[in-house]
This record gives sequence, C-alpha cells and structure tokens, in this order.
Amino acid sequence: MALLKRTGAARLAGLFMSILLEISGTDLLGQANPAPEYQLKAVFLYNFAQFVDWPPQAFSDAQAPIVIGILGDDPFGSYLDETVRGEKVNGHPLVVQRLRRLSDVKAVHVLFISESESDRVEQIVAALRGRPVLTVGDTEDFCARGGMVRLLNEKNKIRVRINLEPVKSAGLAVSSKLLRVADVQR
Amino acid sequence: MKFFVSLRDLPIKRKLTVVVLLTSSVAVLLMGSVLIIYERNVFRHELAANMTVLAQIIGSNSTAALAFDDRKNAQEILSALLADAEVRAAAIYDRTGNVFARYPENLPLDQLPAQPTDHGHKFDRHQFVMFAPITQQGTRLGTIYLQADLGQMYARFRVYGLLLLFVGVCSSLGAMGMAWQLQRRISQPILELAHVATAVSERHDYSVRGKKHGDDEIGQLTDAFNEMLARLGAANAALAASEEDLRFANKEKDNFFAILSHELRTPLTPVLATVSVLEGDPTLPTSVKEDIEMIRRNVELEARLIDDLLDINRIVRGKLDLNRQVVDVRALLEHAMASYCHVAAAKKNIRCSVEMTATETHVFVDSSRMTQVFWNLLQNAVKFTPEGGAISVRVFNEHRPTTAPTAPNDGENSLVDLVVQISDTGMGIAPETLPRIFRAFEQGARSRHASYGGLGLGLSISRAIMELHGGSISAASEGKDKGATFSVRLHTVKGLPTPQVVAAPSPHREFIGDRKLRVLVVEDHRDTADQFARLLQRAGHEVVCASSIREAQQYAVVTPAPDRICAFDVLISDLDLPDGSGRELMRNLAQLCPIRGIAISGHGSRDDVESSLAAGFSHHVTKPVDWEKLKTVLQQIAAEKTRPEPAHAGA
Repeated sequence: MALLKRTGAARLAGLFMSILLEISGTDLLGQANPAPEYQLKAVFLYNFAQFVDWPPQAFSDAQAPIVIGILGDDPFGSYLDETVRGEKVNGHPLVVQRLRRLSDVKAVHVLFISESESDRVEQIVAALRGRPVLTVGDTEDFCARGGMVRLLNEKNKIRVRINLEPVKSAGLAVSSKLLRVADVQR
Repeated sequence: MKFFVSLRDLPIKRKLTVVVLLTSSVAVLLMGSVLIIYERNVFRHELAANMTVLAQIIGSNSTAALAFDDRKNAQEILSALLADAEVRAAAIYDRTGNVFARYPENLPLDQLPAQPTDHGHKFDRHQFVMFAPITQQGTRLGTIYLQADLGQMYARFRVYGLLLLFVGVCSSLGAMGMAWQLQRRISQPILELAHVATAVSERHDYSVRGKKHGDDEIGQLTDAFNEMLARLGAANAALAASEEDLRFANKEKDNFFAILSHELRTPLTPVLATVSVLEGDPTLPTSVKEDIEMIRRNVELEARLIDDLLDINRIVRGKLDLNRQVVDVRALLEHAMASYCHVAAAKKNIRCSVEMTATETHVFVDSSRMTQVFWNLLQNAVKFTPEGGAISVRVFNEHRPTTAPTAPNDGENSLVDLVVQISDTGMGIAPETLPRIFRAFEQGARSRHASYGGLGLGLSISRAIMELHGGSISAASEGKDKGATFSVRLHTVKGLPTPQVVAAPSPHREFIGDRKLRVLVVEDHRDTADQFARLLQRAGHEVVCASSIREAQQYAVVTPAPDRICAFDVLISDLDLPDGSGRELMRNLAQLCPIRGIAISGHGSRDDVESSLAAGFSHHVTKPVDWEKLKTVLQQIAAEKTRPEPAHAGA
C-alpha cells in the first residue's frame, strides 16, 4: 500500500512539474492536445474530493468509489485518469466516468460540465437539484447560472469560485479550508 | 590547597564565617545547577511539544493552499507565526519538495534547507529545527519546516542566574549572620580565654579566670585553664612570699653586718687615740715606744679590715655615696704617699720614685675615697715588693679616645684623662689570675693575699670607687716575679682646687691651744669617753664627761637670761646615745645658748653629715676619730672664739 502510494506520489510529482512548466508557457513535452491548464484542473478535480464531504447516503458502502464524471467533450485527455489512478480519499477509491447525456448521470459525486454543454448549464443544474453532486465547470457565468464550483484562469493561475447556495441545498459540506482559498459567491 | 593553608592562620571568627559561607555557597550552586539542568530539559521538552502542535496547526491549515496552489494563502497562514516570538523561520514545502511558502516572507532561500529531510526535530546550540508532514484525508500534500530560537531559553537562564545571584547574596548575608551567632557561641569563649591568657602573660595577674559558657569541650578547656591558673597563681604567690622572706632576711643580714662592723670598730677609737698620744710622749723609753707602735699597727690593721668590710657592704647595697669636689690629684697622691709609701719604703729599703708629667691634674672626685684607692694600691705595692725593690709612681695625661662616651653629669670635663700608674718590682700576677683580682672574695685575690694577711677586699673596693667616679682601674703584669703595674684613669676637669683639701694635715704636729676651751664630751662608751677626756685635758682644755642626754643637760648649766652664757664652749657628742640622738641634744643646747658642736658618728654619708649640720653641729667626724683632724677643728673653734662674735654679742 505504502509502495503504491509512493509510486503514485512520485508520478504525481512528475506530473506536477510538467504542469508547472506548461503553465509557464514552455511546451517542452510537445503535447498540444489537451490544453496544459487541464492538467492542473484535473488535480483540482481530484483535490475537491478531499475538501468536500458527501452525505452518507451518497455512498452505498465504505469502500464505494468516489465517481468523477465528465459531461460532454473530455478536455482532460488522460490527465484525469493519471491523476486519480491508485489514489484513495477516506478509503474511497476514485473513478472517472465520461458521460454524454444528462440521463447518464447516476451515482456521480463530482460532475465536470464541459464547455460543450455550456448552453444547457441551467437545465443540467436544475435536473441535479437536491442530489449530492458537486457541479464543476469552467465556462463564463457558471456560478451565476446555478453551477457550484467554477475554475477560472487568472494571470496564468487557476482560481476556484464557489456558489454556496446550491452546494448547501445539495447537502454537501465544503471544508472551510477550501472556502478560505476560494472566491465565495453568495 | 593554598586556600586551605591560608585559612589555617585566620582567626576562628573568620574561619567559622568562611566555612559557613562556603557551605551555603556550595548548596546554592548545587541547587542552582540542578534547577538549571532540569529547567533546560523541561524547556526543550515544552518547546518541542509546542512546535509540534504549531506545525500540526499550520500544516492542517495550509492543506487547501497546497492543494489549490494558493501561495498567498499559505503565506498568510505562515505570517501568523509573527505572534510567536520563538519561531525564527518557517517554510512549507510542496509534495515535490520545493519551497511553497516561507516565513519571514523575504527570507533568503539559502537560509532554508533546500530539501525537507527526515521528519522529526533536533536541537543544536542555538536553535531548534523540525520537519512535519502535511496531510489531508491521509494524502500527503507537503512538509512544514520550523526553526525556533533558543534565545528565550537563555533569557530565562539569565533570569535564573540573576535569581541565583540574589539568593546567593541573601544566603551569604544569612550565613554571615549565622557565623556571627556561631562565633558568639563557639569562638567568643575561646577569644575570652585568649584574652585571659594574654592578661596573665602580660600583667602576671593570676587572679583572673575564664568564664565558662557551657559544658562542651570549650567549657572543659576553660575549667582546665582555670585550674592551671589557680595552681600557677598559688605557686607564684609562694614564690613571691619566699622571695619577700629572702629579701627581708638579706636586709636583716645587711643591717646586722653594718651594726656589727660599727660595733667592732667603736672600741678601736680610744685605743688608737691613746697610742697616738703615747707615741708623742718624749719621756717614754724606746722599748715601750716599739711596743706601742706594734699596738698601733695592729689596731690600724684591724680598723682597716673593718673599714673594708663596711665599704664592701655599702658597695653591695649600692649605698656608697660620693662627696665630689674639684681636687688637684697631686695633693691626694702626696698625702697618700706620705702616709704609706715613704714610711714603709724607708723600713723595707724600697726606692720610691715619682714621675710627674701631667699638666692637667684637676679631677672631680670624693677626696677621701680617692685617697683610699691610692692607699690601697700603694699598700699593696709595699706589701708585695721585697726588700731592696722599687716602687715608681707615674702621673701623666692621655687624650681620651673620641669614641668613648663622655659622662653626662660633669659638663666641665675636658677631653684629657689623667692616668696614675703605680708599678712595683714584686711577685707579679700570673696571667690566669689577672682577670679575677678585682673581684671580691675571689680565689685569685685570696691566694695572692694568703701569705700576706688581709681579706684582699681593697682592689674590689677600689674598682667600685673608680667605677662610681666614671673612671677605671686596671692591672698589668708580665708574669710571676716580674712586678705589677696598676693604672687608675680619671677624666680631668678645668678648675681650681678647693683650698681646705690641699691643706694636708701634718701627722706629727703638736696641738697647741691658743686658748683654753670648756668641752662637754657626751659618749656612752666609757673607754672612748675617758680617752677623749685624757687627750683634751693633755691639750689644756677643761673637760666634763656625760654618758647620756639627760646627764649632759644637767651639766650644761646656763646662766639665766638676759646674759645666757653657756657653761661650755664646745659640745663633742656621739650621735647614738642610749636615751636618744646627739642631734636632739645639740638642738636643745643651741636654743639655750651659743655653743659649738662636733658630732662623732660611725656613719659618714652625705645625708648623715647634712642632718648633723641641720641640727646645729658645726662639724661631723666619722669614727674612728682622726685625732689630728679633731685637734685642727678645736684649734679653729678656739681661734674664732678670740675674735669678737657680733651675732652672739647682740643676742
């Protein structure tokens, strides 16, 4: 287990390095697709699992995985899979699901609403209302349109914006530590 | 070691203080050391615990910042450390080991460890450093590094040091107070004993006693000391008592000796006087004259022996008084030579020569004592020189060595000494006896005189007389049968001789009275009184004898006032009379009428003479009475009587 974790950590470390390098505008690895910022956004998606508590009924049992769903076109490529591979949060393994339609969204804990679905954000959010699903997006006015967490670029840095009202009504608890580093929209 | 040696000579008081101070200082130091070591451990333990908690708090707070790459937030969290004075530096490393945030914000990177090392903490000399992992939900997000200053610990130690110093000073003061108390209980009795011992050794006061303060060793010491003092005091008192007894006995002996000598000599006076008169009687046959001369010689010898004994007694008691006058030593020497040298020399066929080279011949001496010295030396010379020998007398001046101290009393002293050397061709003196001949009763002196008679006291008397005069006497001899030379050395003075001393009496001059005197002789010794009466009557005077003051006053009938004419012209009285002193008689008679007095006494000290003159005597004659001198005195009185006496005529 420790071995696994260490190898995972080492891998993550390497990944982190390359992300930093790419954010600074240097494309040493020569990967044009996907956009380098999504490497970091993938890590953020994983990290949300650590700073958000789901109600117990969100999991069927203690070993039930935390599911990160991507609705619409996948901007992450393999980044997200590489990030969550082998990782566990509070004993829950992490699983990535790619979803094409809203009806596919079932036992999902974190839902990334891709730019391709930006026209339907209100519908998606309305459909998920009351369910313990953390909705994450990076489109304009994502929070204003009812989304919970928006990732936005600011001077080459990724910032987090949280819309607390839907988060609370979904029965989710966001760690105060996360709130401290995020912009909170009321 | 040196310290303990120097402690050895300190007074007990100080010793106690030092011991108590040392003990308290060691205790305070020991306590302080233990306290500081304990405090240091507690401090380090607490610091480590505090830092661990701090690291956990910071780590926990900074998870989100690490997770969401918010350096600003991490920096804010770290800047809260400003409140903790102990934390000097801190850093958050991300999970790849790079510095994510640091405190203080502008801390140069090279002052932080480049990579987080093993978790845990360690102390070095001045700081505490620790690493702790930052995890969130079991996931490692980074590492926190804390560096704390130990300055606070040292500051606390400084406070402890000051406190220790304060306690040390207080305990030293307390210790000194205690030492004072202890000193009162331990060293005070010892000091008192020391004082007592000092008093005893300085004042010889054995009556003091040490005060006992308790029954400890010092108390026992005090008891022993007091007992010792008591025994010492008793022994000392016994010694003093026996010493007093001895002194008293010695004084008694001296007195007895003086009285004995006096009593021995008194009977000789009439014998000598009678012999002197008989010798001058031209009608006596030659054979009787020779017998009479033999009697005179032996009586004179006897008188001389008694005189020597008296003188020795005076010298031993320090009662030899000098009646000093400025005298020409030539007169004294001529007188002495006339009495002894020429007569004896003629008899033994000894040549007697005088060599006078001295120009300064005046000395400040007691004439009679000085004459006695010359007599002694001349007598010895005659005695030890065989028939046909020679005696030479040399008188010369010698400059005194400048190093010799001058006698302080006679300010008229010149720096010239007068030396009288008397040499003979006699038996001489063996070198081994030479140093002893001036000592009374010495074997050497005695053996020298054994075959010649006499006690041999003359030389020791002469030496005492010379020393009293500030002069000296010495003897030299080249050996047995080579003769001896005695030298007398005196300081000369400038001055004229007193005339009456120069007027040496001519021994064979007849007494011729210019006028008959009425003489009252008061003498309890009957033979002496009769002898006086015969001598005076033969000289043509009227004589009445009395044996006591009472009898004398009966004879001294005075015609009633206003004429008050005395029955006698002269009173010759012994001073020691059965019913009082002759001075008393003189005083009484002098009140009644004008009468001259001559005192006759065995004592001739200055005090004796002065009290006789004070009582009204005009002359004081010492026994044995020199008949020639007495005759001269009577002659003077008779001469005065022929002249008118204004003092008495007016009365």
